[in-house]
Amino acid sequence: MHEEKALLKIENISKNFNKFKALENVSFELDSNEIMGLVGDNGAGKSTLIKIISGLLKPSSGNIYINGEKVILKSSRHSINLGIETIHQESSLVDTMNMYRNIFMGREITNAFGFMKKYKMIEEANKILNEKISIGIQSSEQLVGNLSGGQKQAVAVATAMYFKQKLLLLDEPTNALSVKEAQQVLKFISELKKENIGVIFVTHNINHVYSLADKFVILNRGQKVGDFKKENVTMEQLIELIIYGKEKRIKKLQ
Amino acid sequence: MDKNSNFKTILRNISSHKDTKILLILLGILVFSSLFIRNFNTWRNLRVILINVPIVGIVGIGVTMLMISGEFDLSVGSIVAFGPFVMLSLVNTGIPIYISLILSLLAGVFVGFLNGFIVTNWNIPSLIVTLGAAMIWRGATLILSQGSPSTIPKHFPLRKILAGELGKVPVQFIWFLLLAIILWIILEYSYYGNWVFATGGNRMAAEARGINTSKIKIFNFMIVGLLSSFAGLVQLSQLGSIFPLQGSGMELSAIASVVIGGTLISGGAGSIIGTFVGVLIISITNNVLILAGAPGYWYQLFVGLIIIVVVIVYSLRRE
Repeated sequence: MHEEKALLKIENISKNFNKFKALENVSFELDSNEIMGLVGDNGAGKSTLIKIISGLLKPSSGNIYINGEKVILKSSRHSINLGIETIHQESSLVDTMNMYRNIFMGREITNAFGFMKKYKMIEEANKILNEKISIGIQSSEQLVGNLSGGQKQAVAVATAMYFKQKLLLLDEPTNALSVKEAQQVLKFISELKKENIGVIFVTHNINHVYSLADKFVILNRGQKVGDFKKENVTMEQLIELIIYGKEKRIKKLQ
Repeated sequence: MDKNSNFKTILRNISSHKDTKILLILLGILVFSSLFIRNFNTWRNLRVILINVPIVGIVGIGVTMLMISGEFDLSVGSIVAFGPFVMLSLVNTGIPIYISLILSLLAGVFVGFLNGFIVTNWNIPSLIVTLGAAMIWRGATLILSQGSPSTIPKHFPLRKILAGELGKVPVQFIWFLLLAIILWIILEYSYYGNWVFATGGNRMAAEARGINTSKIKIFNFMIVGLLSSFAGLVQLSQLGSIFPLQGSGMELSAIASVVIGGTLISGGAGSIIGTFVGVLIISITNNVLILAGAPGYWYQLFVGLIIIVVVIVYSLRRE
Protein backbone atom coordinates (compact mmCIF):
# COMPACT_ATOMS: atom_id res chain seq x y z
CA MET A 1 0.00 0.00 0.00
CA HIS A 2 1.48 3.30 -1.03
CA GLU A 3 0.83 6.26 1.17
CA GLU A 4 1.38 9.75 -0.18
CA LYS A 5 3.97 11.49 1.98
CA ALA A 6 3.52 15.15 2.84
CA LEU A 7 5.98 17.55 1.19
CA LEU A 8 6.77 19.06 4.58
CA LYS A 9 5.93 17.76 8.01
CA ILE A 10 6.72 19.75 11.13
CA GLU A 11 6.50 17.73 14.33
CA ASN A 12 6.52 19.26 17.82
CA ILE A 13 8.97 22.00 16.98
CA SER A 14 10.03 24.13 19.95
CA LYS A 15 12.53 26.94 20.10
CA ASN A 16 13.80 28.65 23.21
CA PHE A 17 15.92 31.77 23.38
CA ASN A 18 17.35 31.52 26.88
CA LYS A 19 14.17 31.41 28.98
CA PHE A 20 11.91 32.84 26.31
CA LYS A 21 9.82 30.26 24.49
CA ALA A 22 9.53 31.51 20.91
CA LEU A 23 7.86 28.31 19.71
CA GLU A 24 6.19 25.55 21.68
CA ASN A 25 5.34 22.16 20.17
CA VAL A 26 4.22 23.39 16.79
CA SER A 27 3.18 20.72 14.27
CA PHE A 28 1.62 20.81 10.81
CA GLU A 29 1.78 19.24 7.37
CA LEU A 30 1.92 20.72 3.91
CA ASP A 31 1.42 18.98 0.56
CA SER A 32 2.76 19.93 -2.84
CA ASN A 33 0.39 22.21 -4.74
CA GLU A 34 -0.96 23.47 -1.43
CA ILE A 35 -0.79 27.07 -0.28
CA MET A 36 -0.73 27.48 3.47
CA GLY A 37 -1.30 30.77 5.22
CA LEU A 38 0.89 30.97 8.31
CA VAL A 39 -0.75 33.78 10.20
CA GLY A 40 -0.35 35.46 13.55
CA ASP A 41 0.26 38.83 15.07
CA ASN A 42 3.70 40.37 15.44
CA GLY A 43 5.79 38.29 17.83
CA ALA A 44 3.70 35.15 17.35
CA GLY A 45 6.73 33.12 16.26
CA LYS A 46 6.16 33.11 12.50
CA SER A 47 9.62 34.39 11.63
CA THR A 48 11.29 31.99 14.03
CA LEU A 49 9.46 29.08 12.42
CA ILE A 50 10.42 30.25 8.92
CA LYS A 51 14.04 30.62 9.98
CA ILE A 52 14.01 27.07 11.29
CA ILE A 53 12.57 25.66 8.06
CA SER A 54 15.01 27.68 5.98
CA GLY A 55 17.95 26.34 7.98
CA LEU A 56 19.01 29.61 9.62
CA LEU A 57 18.01 28.53 13.13
CA LYS A 58 18.15 25.14 14.79
CA PRO A 59 15.06 24.07 16.73
CA SER A 60 15.50 23.30 20.44
CA SER A 61 13.45 20.15 19.92
CA GLY A 62 11.14 18.53 17.41
CA ASN A 63 11.48 16.98 13.96
CA ILE A 64 11.22 18.07 10.35
CA TYR A 65 10.33 15.66 7.54
CA ILE A 66 10.61 16.34 3.84
CA ASN A 67 8.71 13.89 1.64
CA GLY A 68 8.51 11.64 4.65
CA GLU A 69 12.22 11.67 5.29
CA LYS A 70 13.53 13.08 8.54
CA VAL A 71 16.02 15.90 8.02
CA ILE A 72 18.22 17.98 10.27
CA LEU A 73 18.70 21.30 8.51
CA LYS A 74 22.27 22.44 9.01
CA SER A 75 22.33 25.71 7.07
CA SER A 76 20.37 27.75 4.58
CA ARG A 77 22.50 26.15 1.87
CA HIS A 78 21.30 22.75 3.08
CA SER A 79 17.65 23.82 2.94
CA ILE A 80 18.09 25.22 -0.55
CA ASN A 81 19.63 21.95 -1.72
CA LEU A 82 16.58 20.14 -0.35
CA GLY A 83 14.35 22.35 -2.49
CA ILE A 84 13.34 24.96 0.08
CA GLU A 85 13.50 28.57 -1.08
CA THR A 86 12.93 31.56 1.21
CA ILE A 87 11.75 34.91 -0.07
CA HIS A 88 11.66 37.84 2.35
CA GLN A 89 9.69 41.02 2.13
CA GLU A 90 11.42 43.41 -0.23
CA SER A 91 14.83 42.00 0.52
CA SER A 92 14.98 38.87 -1.57
CA LEU A 93 17.17 40.53 -4.20
CA VAL A 94 20.17 42.85 -4.15
CA ASP A 95 19.38 46.31 -5.52
CA THR A 96 22.95 47.19 -6.44
CA MET A 97 23.38 44.09 -8.63
CA ASN A 98 21.93 43.46 -12.06
CA MET A 99 19.24 40.89 -12.84
CA TYR A 100 21.32 37.95 -13.94
CA ARG A 101 23.76 38.30 -11.06
CA ASN A 102 20.74 38.30 -8.75
CA ILE A 103 18.95 35.38 -10.34
CA PHE A 104 22.05 33.19 -10.09
CA MET A 105 23.20 34.58 -6.73
CA GLY A 106 24.46 31.62 -4.70
CA ARG A 107 23.92 29.29 -7.69
CA GLU A 108 26.23 30.76 -10.31
CA ILE A 109 26.90 28.81 -13.48
CA THR A 110 30.66 28.34 -13.35
CA ASN A 111 33.45 26.43 -15.02
CA ALA A 112 35.78 24.09 -13.15
CA PHE A 113 37.82 27.03 -11.83
CA GLY A 114 34.89 28.88 -10.29
CA PHE A 115 34.61 31.51 -13.01
CA MET A 116 31.12 32.45 -14.08
CA LYS A 117 29.89 31.65 -17.55
CA LYS A 118 28.38 35.08 -18.00
CA TYR A 119 26.87 34.57 -21.44
CA LYS A 120 25.13 31.40 -20.34
CA MET A 121 23.83 33.17 -17.22
CA ILE A 122 22.55 36.12 -19.25
CA GLU A 123 20.88 33.79 -21.75
CA GLU A 124 19.13 31.76 -19.04
CA ALA A 125 18.13 34.88 -17.13
CA ASN A 126 16.56 36.35 -20.26
CA LYS A 127 14.62 33.12 -20.67
CA ILE A 128 13.25 33.40 -17.15
CA LEU A 129 12.32 37.04 -17.62
CA ASN A 130 10.61 36.49 -20.96
CA GLU A 131 9.01 33.08 -20.56
CA LYS A 132 8.24 32.53 -16.89
CA ILE A 133 7.07 36.01 -16.14
CA SER A 134 5.97 38.88 -18.30
CA ILE A 135 6.46 41.97 -16.20
CA GLY A 136 8.09 44.17 -18.76
CA ILE A 137 11.73 43.57 -17.92
CA GLN A 138 13.66 43.43 -21.16
CA SER A 139 17.27 42.99 -20.22
CA SER A 140 18.81 40.83 -17.56
CA GLU A 141 21.65 43.33 -17.38
CA GLN A 142 19.35 45.92 -15.85
CA LEU A 143 19.97 46.89 -12.22
CA VAL A 144 17.44 45.37 -9.81
CA GLY A 145 17.26 48.69 -7.96
CA ASN A 146 15.33 50.09 -10.92
CA LEU A 147 12.50 47.56 -10.56
CA SER A 148 9.33 48.06 -8.57
CA GLY A 149 8.74 46.03 -5.41
CA GLY A 150 6.22 43.82 -7.19
CA GLN A 151 8.58 43.11 -10.08
CA LYS A 152 11.30 42.14 -7.63
CA GLN A 153 9.06 39.64 -5.86
CA ALA A 154 7.97 38.17 -9.18
CA VAL A 155 11.60 37.73 -10.23
CA ALA A 156 12.46 36.09 -6.91
CA VAL A 157 9.59 33.62 -7.23
CA ALA A 158 10.36 32.89 -10.90
CA THR A 159 13.95 32.21 -9.90
CA ALA A 160 12.82 29.60 -7.38
CA MET A 161 10.68 28.00 -10.08
CA TYR A 162 13.58 27.97 -12.53
CA PHE A 163 15.68 26.06 -10.01
CA LYS A 164 12.81 23.63 -9.52
CA GLN A 165 12.42 24.35 -5.82
CA LYS A 166 9.60 22.38 -4.23
CA LEU A 167 8.73 24.52 -1.24
CA LEU A 168 8.49 28.30 -1.14
CA LEU A 169 8.61 30.18 2.15
CA LEU A 170 7.20 33.62 1.49
CA ASP A 171 7.90 35.85 4.47
CA GLU A 172 5.49 38.81 4.32
CA PRO A 173 5.97 39.04 0.54
CA THR A 174 3.37 41.74 0.04
CA ASN A 175 4.16 43.93 3.02
CA ALA A 176 6.20 46.56 1.28
CA LEU A 177 4.06 46.68 -1.84
CA SER A 178 1.37 49.01 -3.10
CA VAL A 179 -2.14 47.56 -3.29
CA LYS A 180 -1.93 47.07 -7.05
CA GLU A 181 1.49 45.43 -6.89
CA ALA A 182 0.38 43.19 -4.07
CA GLN A 183 -2.52 41.97 -6.22
CA GLN A 184 -0.14 41.15 -9.05
CA VAL A 185 2.16 39.18 -6.78
CA LEU A 186 -0.79 37.32 -5.23
CA LYS A 187 -2.05 36.34 -8.68
CA PHE A 188 1.40 35.15 -9.58
CA ILE A 189 1.64 33.04 -6.42
CA SER A 190 -1.79 31.48 -7.00
CA GLU A 191 -0.46 30.12 -10.28
CA LEU A 192 2.31 28.24 -8.47
CA LYS A 193 -0.06 25.42 -7.56
CA LYS A 194 -0.06 24.34 -11.18
CA GLU A 195 3.69 23.91 -10.94
CA ASN A 196 3.33 21.45 -8.07
CA ILE A 197 5.01 23.74 -5.59
CA GLY A 198 4.06 23.93 -1.93
CA VAL A 199 3.86 27.43 -0.50
CA ILE A 200 3.94 28.76 3.04
CA PHE A 201 2.72 32.32 2.97
CA VAL A 202 3.58 34.18 6.16
CA THR A 203 1.62 37.29 6.97
CA HIS A 204 -0.19 39.18 9.67
CA ASN A 205 -2.49 40.59 7.02
CA ILE A 206 -5.19 37.95 6.64
CA ASN A 207 -6.74 39.84 3.72
CA HIS A 208 -3.74 39.09 1.56
CA VAL A 209 -3.73 35.39 2.12
CA TYR A 210 -7.38 34.48 2.60
CA SER A 211 -8.39 34.30 -1.04
CA LEU A 212 -5.22 32.47 -1.94
CA ALA A 213 -4.68 29.84 0.71
CA ASP A 214 -5.99 26.27 0.92
CA LYS A 215 -5.34 26.03 4.62
CA PHE A 216 -4.29 28.11 7.58
CA VAL A 217 -2.05 27.62 10.58
CA ILE A 218 -2.46 30.26 13.25
CA LEU A 219 0.27 31.04 15.76
CA ASN A 220 -0.15 33.01 18.95
CA ARG A 221 2.73 33.61 21.38
CA GLY A 222 4.66 30.67 20.04
CA GLN A 223 1.82 28.19 20.13
CA LYS A 224 -0.32 26.81 17.38
CA VAL A 225 -3.87 27.90 18.16
CA GLY A 226 -5.54 26.73 15.00
CA ASP A 227 -5.09 24.56 11.90
CA PHE A 228 -7.91 24.69 9.38
CA LYS A 229 -8.78 23.82 5.84
CA LYS A 230 -10.21 26.92 4.28
CA GLU A 231 -13.71 25.44 3.95
CA ASN A 232 -13.85 24.95 7.72
CA VAL A 233 -13.11 28.48 8.80
CA THR A 234 -14.31 32.01 8.16
CA MET A 235 -12.19 35.11 7.96
CA GLU A 236 -13.81 36.44 11.16
CA GLN A 237 -12.85 33.32 13.06
CA LEU A 238 -9.27 33.59 11.82
CA ILE A 239 -9.04 37.20 12.91
CA GLU A 240 -10.38 36.31 16.38
CA LEU A 241 -7.78 33.58 16.70
CA ILE A 242 -4.95 35.82 15.59
CA ILE A 243 -5.90 38.45 18.13
CA TYR A 244 -7.04 36.40 21.14
CA GLY A 245 -5.37 33.08 20.42
CA LYS A 246 -8.18 31.14 22.04
CA GLU A 247 -9.77 28.10 20.53
CA LYS A 248 -12.55 28.06 23.10
CA ARG A 249 -13.88 31.23 21.71
CA ILE A 250 -14.03 29.74 18.24
CA LYS A 251 -15.87 26.69 19.49
CA LYS A 252 -18.39 28.93 21.15
CA LEU A 253 -18.84 30.75 17.92
CA GLN A 254 -19.38 27.55 16.04
CA MET B 1 22.10 48.68 -40.73
CA ASP B 2 23.06 45.70 -38.67
CA LYS B 3 26.60 46.93 -38.32
CA ASN B 4 25.31 50.30 -37.29
CA SER B 5 23.10 48.89 -34.54
CA ASN B 6 25.97 46.72 -33.35
CA PHE B 7 28.08 49.82 -33.09
CA LYS B 8 25.33 51.56 -31.18
CA THR B 9 25.08 48.66 -28.74
CA ILE B 10 28.81 48.79 -28.16
CA LEU B 11 28.63 52.53 -27.65
CA ARG B 12 25.74 52.16 -25.22
CA ASN B 13 27.57 49.46 -23.29
CA ILE B 14 30.62 51.67 -22.99
CA SER B 15 28.69 54.73 -21.90
CA SER B 16 26.70 52.79 -19.33
CA HIS B 17 29.73 50.92 -17.94
CA LYS B 18 30.42 51.74 -14.33
CA ASP B 19 34.04 52.80 -14.94
CA THR B 20 33.48 55.08 -17.92
CA LYS B 21 33.07 58.27 -15.94
CA ILE B 22 36.19 57.90 -13.84
CA LEU B 23 38.25 56.95 -16.91
CA LEU B 24 37.03 60.11 -18.66
CA ILE B 25 37.98 62.18 -15.62
CA LEU B 26 41.48 60.64 -15.67
CA LEU B 27 41.76 61.31 -19.39
CA GLY B 28 40.75 64.92 -18.81
CA ILE B 29 43.37 65.35 -16.09
CA LEU B 30 46.04 63.78 -18.30
CA VAL B 31 45.23 66.00 -21.28
CA PHE B 32 45.10 69.11 -19.12
CA SER B 33 48.37 68.29 -17.37
CA SER B 34 50.20 67.46 -20.61
CA LEU B 35 49.11 70.69 -22.21
CA PHE B 36 49.56 73.11 -19.36
CA ILE B 37 52.07 71.66 -16.91
CA ARG B 38 55.72 71.83 -17.89
CA ASN B 39 57.72 68.61 -17.63
CA PHE B 40 54.58 66.58 -16.96
CA ASN B 41 54.73 64.32 -19.99
CA THR B 42 58.34 63.25 -19.61
CA TRP B 43 59.44 59.70 -18.89
CA ARG B 44 61.24 60.84 -15.79
CA ASN B 45 58.08 62.33 -14.38
CA LEU B 46 55.99 59.34 -15.34
CA ARG B 47 58.46 57.15 -13.46
CA VAL B 48 57.94 59.21 -10.33
CA ILE B 49 54.20 58.59 -10.59
CA LEU B 50 54.64 54.89 -11.26
CA ILE B 51 56.80 54.58 -8.14
CA ASN B 52 54.44 56.60 -5.95
CA VAL B 53 51.21 54.88 -6.91
CA PRO B 54 51.68 51.19 -6.04
CA ILE B 55 51.90 51.28 -2.23
CA VAL B 56 48.59 53.04 -1.63
CA GLY B 57 47.21 51.24 -4.68
CA ILE B 58 47.95 47.73 -3.46
CA VAL B 59 46.26 48.55 -0.17
CA GLY B 60 43.42 50.29 -2.00
CA ILE B 61 42.38 47.39 -4.21
CA GLY B 62 42.09 45.18 -1.13
CA VAL B 63 40.03 47.82 0.65
CA THR B 64 37.80 48.00 -2.44
CA MET B 65 36.94 44.34 -2.19
CA LEU B 66 36.30 44.68 1.54
CA MET B 67 34.20 47.81 1.16
CA ILE B 68 32.03 46.17 -1.52
CA SER B 69 31.28 43.44 1.03
CA GLY B 70 30.12 46.18 3.39
CA GLU B 71 33.04 46.70 5.79
CA PHE B 72 36.13 48.82 5.96
CA ASP B 73 39.49 48.77 7.60
CA LEU B 74 41.31 51.57 9.41
CA SER B 75 44.19 49.30 10.47
CA VAL B 76 45.83 49.03 7.04
CA GLY B 77 48.31 51.82 7.76
CA SER B 78 49.50 50.00 10.87
CA ILE B 79 49.87 46.71 9.02
CA VAL B 80 51.98 48.48 6.39
CA ALA B 81 54.52 49.11 9.18
CA PHE B 82 53.90 45.94 11.21
CA GLY B 83 54.54 43.54 8.30
CA PRO B 84 58.03 44.82 7.45
CA PHE B 85 59.05 45.00 11.11
CA VAL B 86 58.02 41.39 11.61
CA MET B 87 60.06 40.51 8.56
CA LEU B 88 63.20 42.35 9.68
CA SER B 89 62.94 41.00 13.23
CA LEU B 90 62.74 37.46 11.87
CA VAL B 91 65.65 38.03 9.47
CA ASN B 92 67.71 39.43 12.34
CA THR B 93 67.16 36.26 14.37
CA GLY B 94 68.68 34.31 11.48
CA ILE B 95 65.56 32.99 9.77
CA PRO B 96 66.02 32.79 5.97
CA ILE B 97 64.65 35.77 4.06
CA TYR B 98 62.00 33.96 2.05
CA ILE B 99 60.59 32.21 5.09
CA SER B 100 60.52 35.54 6.93
CA LEU B 101 58.76 37.03 3.93
CA ILE B 102 56.05 34.41 4.04
CA LEU B 103 55.68 34.71 7.81
CA SER B 104 55.34 38.49 7.62
CA LEU B 105 52.67 38.16 4.94
CA LEU B 106 50.90 35.63 7.15
CA ALA B 107 51.12 38.12 10.02
CA GLY B 108 49.08 40.51 7.86
CA VAL B 109 46.60 37.76 7.06
CA PHE B 110 46.31 37.00 10.76
CA VAL B 111 45.59 40.63 11.67
CA GLY B 112 42.93 40.67 8.96
CA PHE B 113 41.43 37.45 10.26
CA LEU B 114 41.19 38.85 13.80
CA ASN B 115 39.49 42.01 12.49
CA GLY B 116 36.99 40.01 10.45
CA PHE B 117 36.31 37.49 13.17
CA ILE B 118 35.61 40.15 15.79
CA VAL B 119 33.44 42.17 13.41
CA THR B 120 31.30 39.24 12.28
CA ASN B 121 31.19 37.19 15.46
CA TRP B 122 30.04 39.97 17.77
CA ASN B 123 28.43 42.15 15.12
CA ILE B 124 30.57 45.18 15.95
CA PRO B 125 30.99 47.96 13.37
CA SER B 126 34.27 47.56 11.52
CA LEU B 127 34.98 51.25 12.08
CA ILE B 128 35.43 50.59 15.79
CA VAL B 129 37.14 47.21 15.60
CA THR B 130 39.73 48.35 13.07
CA LEU B 131 40.28 51.64 14.90
CA GLY B 132 41.25 49.55 17.90
CA ALA B 133 43.31 47.24 15.72
CA ALA B 134 45.10 50.21 14.15
CA MET B 135 46.31 51.30 17.59
CA ILE B 136 47.14 47.80 18.78
CA TRP B 137 49.32 46.90 15.79
CA ARG B 138 50.92 50.33 15.66
CA GLY B 139 51.70 49.86 19.33
CA ALA B 140 53.05 46.39 18.69
CA THR B 141 55.27 47.81 15.94
CA LEU B 142 56.59 50.50 18.29
CA ILE B 143 57.34 47.89 20.96
CA LEU B 144 58.97 45.57 18.44
CA SER B 145 61.14 48.38 17.05
CA GLN B 146 61.79 50.15 20.35
CA GLY B 147 60.68 53.25 18.48
CA SER B 148 63.61 53.38 16.09
CA PRO B 149 63.76 52.68 12.35
CA SER B 150 65.05 49.42 11.00
CA THR B 151 67.27 48.90 7.97
CA ILE B 152 67.45 46.03 5.51
CA PRO B 153 70.52 43.76 5.60
CA LYS B 154 73.25 44.16 2.98
CA HIS B 155 72.15 41.31 0.80
CA PHE B 156 68.46 41.74 0.42
CA PRO B 157 67.22 40.09 -2.77
CA LEU B 158 63.71 41.51 -2.29
CA ARG B 159 65.02 44.94 -3.28
CA LYS B 160 65.17 43.85 -6.88
CA ILE B 161 62.12 41.65 -6.80
CA LEU B 162 59.77 44.14 -5.16
CA ALA B 163 61.26 47.51 -6.07
CA GLY B 164 63.69 47.06 -8.95
CA GLU B 165 63.16 47.76 -12.60
CA LEU B 166 61.89 45.64 -15.44
CA GLY B 167 63.02 47.23 -18.66
CA LYS B 168 62.49 50.83 -17.68
CA VAL B 169 59.32 50.22 -15.67
CA PRO B 170 59.45 50.19 -11.85
CA VAL B 171 58.74 46.64 -10.68
CA GLN B 172 56.44 47.81 -7.89
CA PHE B 173 54.06 49.18 -10.51
CA ILE B 174 54.05 45.83 -12.29
CA TRP B 175 53.15 44.15 -8.99
CA PHE B 176 50.34 46.63 -8.49
CA LEU B 177 49.05 46.06 -12.03
CA LEU B 178 49.28 42.29 -11.64
CA LEU B 179 47.48 42.22 -8.27
CA ALA B 180 44.82 44.61 -9.55
CA ILE B 181 44.16 42.36 -12.55
CA ILE B 182 43.88 39.30 -10.31
CA LEU B 183 41.42 41.00 -7.93
CA TRP B 184 39.49 42.46 -10.86
CA ILE B 185 39.04 39.04 -12.42
CA ILE B 186 37.99 37.51 -9.10
CA LEU B 187 35.52 40.30 -8.38
CA GLU B 188 33.92 40.55 -11.82
CA TYR B 189 34.13 37.01 -13.13
CA SER B 190 34.19 34.50 -10.29
CA TYR B 191 31.30 33.30 -8.18
CA TYR B 192 33.22 34.59 -5.18
CA GLY B 193 32.99 38.11 -6.61
CA ASN B 194 29.26 37.71 -7.01
CA TRP B 195 29.02 36.67 -3.37
CA VAL B 196 31.06 39.70 -2.32
CA PHE B 197 28.65 42.06 -4.10
CA ALA B 198 25.65 40.21 -2.65
CA THR B 199 27.07 40.30 0.89
CA GLY B 200 27.52 44.06 0.86
CA GLY B 201 24.41 44.81 -1.19
CA ASN B 202 21.85 42.92 0.88
CA ARG B 203 23.15 40.63 3.58
CA MET B 204 19.77 39.09 4.33
CA ALA B 205 19.08 38.23 0.70
CA ALA B 206 22.55 36.72 0.35
CA GLU B 207 22.04 34.59 3.47
CA ALA B 208 18.66 33.42 2.19
CA ARG B 209 20.43 32.09 -0.89
CA GLY B 210 22.85 30.12 1.26
CA ILE B 211 25.81 32.50 1.12
CA ASN B 212 27.85 32.55 4.32
CA THR B 213 28.33 36.30 4.48
CA SER B 214 30.47 36.21 7.63
CA LYS B 215 32.98 33.97 5.87
CA ILE B 216 33.09 36.32 2.89
CA LYS B 217 33.75 39.31 5.14
CA ILE B 218 36.44 37.54 7.16
CA PHE B 219 38.13 36.39 3.98
CA ASN B 220 38.10 39.92 2.56
CA PHE B 221 39.65 41.26 5.77
CA MET B 222 42.37 38.63 5.34
CA ILE B 223 42.98 39.75 1.75
CA VAL B 224 43.33 43.34 2.97
CA GLY B 225 45.78 42.22 5.67
CA LEU B 226 47.83 40.27 3.14
CA LEU B 227 47.98 43.13 0.65
CA SER B 228 48.79 45.72 3.35
CA SER B 229 51.68 43.66 4.62
CA PHE B 230 52.85 43.17 1.04
CA ALA B 231 52.60 46.93 0.38
CA GLY B 232 54.74 47.49 3.49
CA LEU B 233 57.37 45.09 2.17
CA VAL B 234 57.38 46.90 -1.18
CA GLN B 235 57.93 50.16 0.65
CA LEU B 236 60.70 48.61 2.75
CA SER B 237 62.43 47.35 -0.40
CA GLN B 238 62.03 50.73 -2.05
CA LEU B 239 63.32 52.86 0.82
CA GLY B 240 65.82 50.41 2.29
CA SER B 241 64.55 51.11 5.78
CA ILE B 242 61.30 51.51 7.65
CA PHE B 243 60.04 53.76 10.41
CA PRO B 244 57.63 52.51 13.06
CA LEU B 245 55.21 55.26 12.05
CA GLN B 246 55.36 54.34 8.37
CA GLY B 247 51.96 54.16 6.72
CA SER B 248 50.27 56.53 9.19
CA GLY B 249 47.31 58.10 7.44
CA MET B 250 47.44 55.59 4.63
CA GLU B 251 44.03 54.18 5.61
CA LEU B 252 42.51 57.51 4.65
CA SER B 253 44.38 57.81 1.35
CA ALA B 254 43.33 54.28 0.53
CA ILE B 255 39.69 54.95 1.34
CA ALA B 256 39.89 58.23 -0.63
CA SER B 257 41.06 56.47 -3.77
CA VAL B 258 38.45 53.74 -3.34
CA VAL B 259 35.66 56.28 -2.99
CA ILE B 260 36.93 58.36 -5.93
CA GLY B 261 36.87 55.12 -7.92
CA GLY B 262 33.13 54.83 -7.39
CA THR B 263 32.90 52.18 -4.68
CA LEU B 264 29.96 52.72 -2.35
CA ILE B 265 30.97 53.16 1.27
CA SER B 266 27.76 51.33 2.21
CA GLY B 267 28.77 48.31 0.12
CA GLY B 268 27.23 46.36 -2.73
CA ALA B 269 28.81 48.26 -5.59
CA GLY B 270 32.29 49.23 -6.67
CA SER B 271 35.15 48.41 -8.95
CA ILE B 272 38.84 47.54 -8.93
CA ILE B 273 39.42 49.52 -12.13
CA GLY B 274 37.80 52.50 -10.43
CA THR B 275 40.21 52.28 -7.50
CA PHE B 276 43.15 51.80 -9.84
CA VAL B 277 42.21 55.01 -11.62
CA GLY B 278 41.38 56.71 -8.31
CA VAL B 279 44.90 56.13 -7.00
CA LEU B 280 46.33 57.47 -10.25
CA ILE B 281 44.17 60.59 -10.03
CA ILE B 282 45.32 61.36 -6.48
CA SER B 283 48.94 60.74 -7.32
CA ILE B 284 48.84 62.80 -10.53
CA THR B 285 47.19 65.66 -8.67
CA ASN B 286 50.00 65.62 -6.15
CA ASN B 287 52.55 65.46 -8.96
CA VAL B 288 50.99 68.33 -10.90
CA LEU B 289 50.87 70.54 -7.81
CA ILE B 290 54.57 69.92 -7.20
CA LEU B 291 55.46 70.60 -10.84
CA ALA B 292 53.36 73.77 -10.78
CA GLY B 293 55.36 74.94 -7.79
CA ALA B 294 52.47 74.96 -5.33
CA PRO B 295 53.44 74.54 -1.68
CA GLY B 296 52.92 71.02 -0.31
CA TYR B 297 50.00 72.14 1.82
CA TRP B 298 47.83 72.43 -1.26
CA TYR B 299 47.83 68.70 -1.77
CA GLN B 300 45.36 67.81 0.98
CA LEU B 301 43.00 70.59 0.02
CA PHE B 302 42.94 69.37 -3.56
CA VAL B 303 42.40 65.71 -2.70
CA GLY B 304 39.57 66.73 -0.41
CA LEU B 305 37.97 68.73 -3.21
CA ILE B 306 38.33 65.86 -5.66
CA ILE B 307 36.66 63.43 -3.30
CA ILE B 308 33.65 65.67 -2.79
CA VAL B 309 33.27 66.68 -6.44
CA VAL B 310 33.57 63.10 -7.68
CA VAL B 311 31.08 61.80 -5.16
CA ILE B 312 28.60 64.49 -6.23
CA VAL B 313 29.09 63.44 -9.86
CA TYR B 314 28.38 59.83 -8.88
CA SER B 315 25.24 60.74 -7.00
CA LEU B 316 23.97 62.63 -10.07
CA ARG B 317 24.35 59.46 -12.11
CA ARG B 318 22.24 57.49 -9.69
CA GLU B 319 19.33 59.93 -9.79
